[in-house]
Amino acid sequence: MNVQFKKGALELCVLVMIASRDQYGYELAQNISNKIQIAEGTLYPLLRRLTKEEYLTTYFAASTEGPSRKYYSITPEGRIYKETLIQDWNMFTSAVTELIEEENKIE
Amino acid sequence: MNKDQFMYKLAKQLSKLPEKDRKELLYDYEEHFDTGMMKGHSEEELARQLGDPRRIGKDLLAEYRLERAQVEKSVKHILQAIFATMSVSFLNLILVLGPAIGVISLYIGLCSMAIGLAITPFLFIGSMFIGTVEPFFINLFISITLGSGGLLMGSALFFVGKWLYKLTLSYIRFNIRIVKGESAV
Repeated sequence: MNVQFKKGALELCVLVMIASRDQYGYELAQNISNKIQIAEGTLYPLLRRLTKEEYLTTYFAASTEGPSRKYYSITPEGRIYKETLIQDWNMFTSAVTELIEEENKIE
Repeated sequence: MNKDQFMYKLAKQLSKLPEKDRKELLYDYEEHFDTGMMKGHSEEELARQLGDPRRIGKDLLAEYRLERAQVEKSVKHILQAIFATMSVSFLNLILVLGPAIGVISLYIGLCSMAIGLAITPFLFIGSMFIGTVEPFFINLFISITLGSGGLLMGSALFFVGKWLYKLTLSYIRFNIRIVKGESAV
């Protein structure tokens, strides 16, 4: 997929996935890279920024397999921000789809 | 590349940061490796999926500098944020360096002008001793007018400076968000 698409969409994907349930970094990286090819290392600076902007919070929880893990959870502000991003995304994608369809009709 | 090599390269990009902050930034990657290895993946495989550590390090550094510049407002911090953002990629360099040089030199120019104007009354007093202030009143009033103009301009520039600081931060943030990692993502 085109790189420009991915950059904008990554933030949205992260928020949507954490909104559905709290996740730790590795888990989130796996869930995203199952669908979209990304360099997983770029997720952490993004998670850090979203946390600093108070869209996400973190907490540590023990795991059954070993040491405790840092979990990310969405805040009320994060949910609002996520909704705006979804709206923007929908508006953008439907506009692009419309344009493509119009062009196809002309051809 | 194994875990140690990855972590070493990443840490190298962050070598200028205080120990505590560096450890905090590196923690996420430690945890990533530990979890992945527990799930049966090799260090090499995990490092490959994470991407280029030098690049990630630059991203982290830029984020960190921005946070600092927002929390502790100072010329040093904003300059560090500007430099860290510029080094993320060539495109960032172009998009940040140009406006930064333009805006900073314009601001410095205006500040020196304000200082120049503000000191004209002192120049007037100074030249009184040398004896070249004729016509006296015209020169007196001109110097007072210019001097107060300089002071007004100076205090206006103080607020412009604060505003520019905020503007610069949001521009850098925008720049990082849009341009960041064209090869990394």
